[in-house]
Amino acid sequence: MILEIARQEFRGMLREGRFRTAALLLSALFLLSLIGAYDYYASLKQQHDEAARTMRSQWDNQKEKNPHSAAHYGTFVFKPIYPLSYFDRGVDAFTGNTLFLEAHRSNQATFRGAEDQGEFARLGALTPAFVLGMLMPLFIIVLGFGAAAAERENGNLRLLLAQGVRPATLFMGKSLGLWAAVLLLALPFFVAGAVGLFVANAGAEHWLRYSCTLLLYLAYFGSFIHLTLLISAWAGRQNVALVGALGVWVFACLIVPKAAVNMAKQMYPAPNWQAYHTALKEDLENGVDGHDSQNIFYKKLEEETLKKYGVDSIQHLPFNWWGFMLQKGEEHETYVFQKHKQKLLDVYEKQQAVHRAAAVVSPYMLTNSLSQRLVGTDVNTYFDFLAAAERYRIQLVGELNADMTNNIKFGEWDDRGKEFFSKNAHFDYQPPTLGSLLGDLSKPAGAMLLWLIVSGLAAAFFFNRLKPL
Amino acid sequence: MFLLQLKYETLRLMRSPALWMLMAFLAGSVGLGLYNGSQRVAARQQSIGEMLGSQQTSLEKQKAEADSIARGLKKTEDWWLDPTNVIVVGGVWEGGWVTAIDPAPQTLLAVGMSDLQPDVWRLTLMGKEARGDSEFENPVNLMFGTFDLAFVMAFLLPLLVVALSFNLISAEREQGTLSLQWAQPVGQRELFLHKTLARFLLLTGMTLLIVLPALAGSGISLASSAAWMTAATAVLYVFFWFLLALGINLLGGSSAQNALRCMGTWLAFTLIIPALVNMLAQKIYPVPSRAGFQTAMRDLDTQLEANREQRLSDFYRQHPELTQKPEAEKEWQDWYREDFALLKGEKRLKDSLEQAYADKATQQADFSDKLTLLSPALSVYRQMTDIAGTSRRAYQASVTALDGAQQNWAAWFLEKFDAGQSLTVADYETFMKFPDRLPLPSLPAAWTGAGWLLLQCLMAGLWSAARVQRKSFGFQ
Repeated sequence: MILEIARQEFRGMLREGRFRTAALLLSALFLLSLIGAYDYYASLKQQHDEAARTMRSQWDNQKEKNPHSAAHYGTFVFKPIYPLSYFDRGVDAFTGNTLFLEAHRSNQATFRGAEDQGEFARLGALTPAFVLGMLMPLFIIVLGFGAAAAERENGNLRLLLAQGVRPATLFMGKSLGLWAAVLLLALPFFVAGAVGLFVANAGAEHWLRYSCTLLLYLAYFGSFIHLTLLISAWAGRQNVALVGALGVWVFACLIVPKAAVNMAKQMYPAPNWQAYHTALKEDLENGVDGHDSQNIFYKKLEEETLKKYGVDSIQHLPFNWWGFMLQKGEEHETYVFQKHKQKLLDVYEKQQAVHRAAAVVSPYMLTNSLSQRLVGTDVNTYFDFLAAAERYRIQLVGELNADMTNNIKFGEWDDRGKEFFSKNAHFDYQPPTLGSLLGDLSKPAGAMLLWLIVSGLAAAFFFNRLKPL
Repeated sequence: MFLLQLKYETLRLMRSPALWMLMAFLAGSVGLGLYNGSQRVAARQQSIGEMLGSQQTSLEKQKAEADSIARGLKKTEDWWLDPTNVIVVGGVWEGGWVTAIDPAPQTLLAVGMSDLQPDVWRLTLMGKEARGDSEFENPVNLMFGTFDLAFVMAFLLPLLVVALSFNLISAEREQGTLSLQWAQPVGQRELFLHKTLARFLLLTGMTLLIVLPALAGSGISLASSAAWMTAATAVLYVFFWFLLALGINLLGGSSAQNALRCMGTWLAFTLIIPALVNMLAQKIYPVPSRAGFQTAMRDLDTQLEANREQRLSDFYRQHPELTQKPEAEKEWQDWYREDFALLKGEKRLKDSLEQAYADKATQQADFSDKLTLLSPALSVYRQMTDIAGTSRRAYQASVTALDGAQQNWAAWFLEKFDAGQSLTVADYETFMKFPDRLPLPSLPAAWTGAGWLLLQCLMAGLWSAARVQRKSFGFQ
């Protein structure tokens, strides 16, 4: 009986003009989004890869200089572009593309893509994730809002119940019918969406990530199928069901994300520029400054070091004192910068906890964040890149200061050339693997599953309460 | 008859709980949007106040030190710490003049680009350096955007129009009361138009009753152009959606069909077309990643460093009154004199590199602007960000004003530097009167969004009129 109802529902939908119109529109948008986004990210990846190669060559071929001067000259690293970025651009347009690495300072990444766009860019971008996350639920609503209400209004419900059809059977049948229509559209999308991975010759890791993303969207569609059926059964009338389902969509996909952002910012405001820099300056002044021999911490360390090595002046130390002090200053500065950046990250984490809490009323929020996490365009993967870049900065500056400390005589400022610089550490960032994310992903994935199950149970409950007219 | 119809519709709607729910929703949304905006502006004001306060305190301290030095009470420390040194105070690595773009009361209307772009800058002798809180924004917050009045107007207001007008006739037909309506001594067309007009007037009146006091409560004077421009934009936008709903009703579908058509149109105008416009603009006028900019800038720096001696020789050849000292004999003033001499040429080269990216970004934004006609939501968003002074155009106007301020600042200090003067207490008192808050620049094309919206209303009106003019109403 379930299959019979599903078949009937599916056939009925296919016959209707609204299925054809919506499917056609959605397909066109999906293809457009795929072509547009893939093209953009392929070009962006090429530009970043090229810039990274050029920057390395600029480092290797820099004018001969003292290692510490080279540390001040610094280098840039560029945000990596992942093979699946075209599928869901996530926070990509709102994170800095370039990061300057230099001695004594841990800089913020600069040049967010959105800064070079107009204000309309704030109204959204057409990507496959936008089509699946924002528009697909509407397709489901358009197809399913009458599932229970229409049966009730046209009197079929009375007949069905009289024939002994159980409400649960009706729910299962309707749900299955809707699933068939959704899959008819979604499966070709899923196949088409993988074209970018084929073209980029992506490895198994990315295919696995893509497969998980698709599973996520299936659960998301399932939640909306259940919500639509629930509203249809609860409303009992097509008009009310349609308005109700659309209202839920507006609430979950448009209002909640923005309202959650405002709430998060008001509950956990990020420090302002002055507060951040005043605290940073204060902490920096409370430690060694490698360039300031009048600094009390410098003098204290000098005394301790002389005592430790049993010599009476820095000239007699078995290493270059200036290189040593520059590194000690660097270690203090790194500690201070990391401390304040961590505080900022803690604020962001609290803000994101509010966003996550909003997922209780918005499966869109949940899907959005999980989808980004899976394709690698989420804020945590970005922060991981920044942390790796900072580790690289510490390593590079450490190498340069170590060369000065161990290989250059005190009082001399020998220059180094290409042979030395080309041997300096390379930045080779590898994002976290899917395997390492499983712990992080388990909770939101569980929440998604819960959404699917609870919405299904609630829909079944309202189908049970459905009374014929 | 129209007045009677208006009275009847008003009474009917007033008795409908749905109307009060919708109005409560609108009031809540407008209130939340403005509250969020007020909080944002207050936070910006506080941040700017703290930055400028800190600058004031630090300069007062430096002024006192300069006074002590002038009176011989204190010895000058190393030149790079000397508060009477023009370079140190005017700003090369430290010093300079922190200047903010002061948010106006209407800034709270729309976030626009304000959370992405810096609103405070440090002006130095060499150029300007961005500051401001935008660097600390959580990228997730930037991605989702803010619940501001511009969002409420562009996205949510049309939903209210749709909710009140998708079933103007179909509901009566479905409830069986249509024949009673036709029994009235008035033509079907007039009856229908009166009904639409009555709902339009009612919703417009209620929207203004909600928005205007809310604006006043948020600190925007009702006599200000920002208030009445916001009100005019809201009325025009509501009018557009009523015209569209009128045409859709005349297509003659059932209530559910009308609701779907209205929602489809809303979706196209508010979500799909803006996303398509962004995609098209990015495709036709791509702005390269700034990664390439950084490598090009570094190449330029290397090149400038390599030909510095040549450029200096040219400079001294053109200025025979000056003599180039051998490196060993140079004092710090000589190094800086040469730096400043070369700065103009270097800045021109660097600016041209920056301009190449800025031009591409402007081309892209201009192209998006041209496509505003495709969606009234784009017109509203553009109008609201222009009123709020948070659009890309407003930001560019601010940057131009800041460039002017930086040139004045640098010129004042460089004159003293060229004359070999040190800073006195009187000098401190003079330069500390430089404006540290620049007003939000007013835009010459601040009505463009409303102009587009008017044109869109005209198009929707023509379409609906064409449907009204049809002999047979589709719903019969």
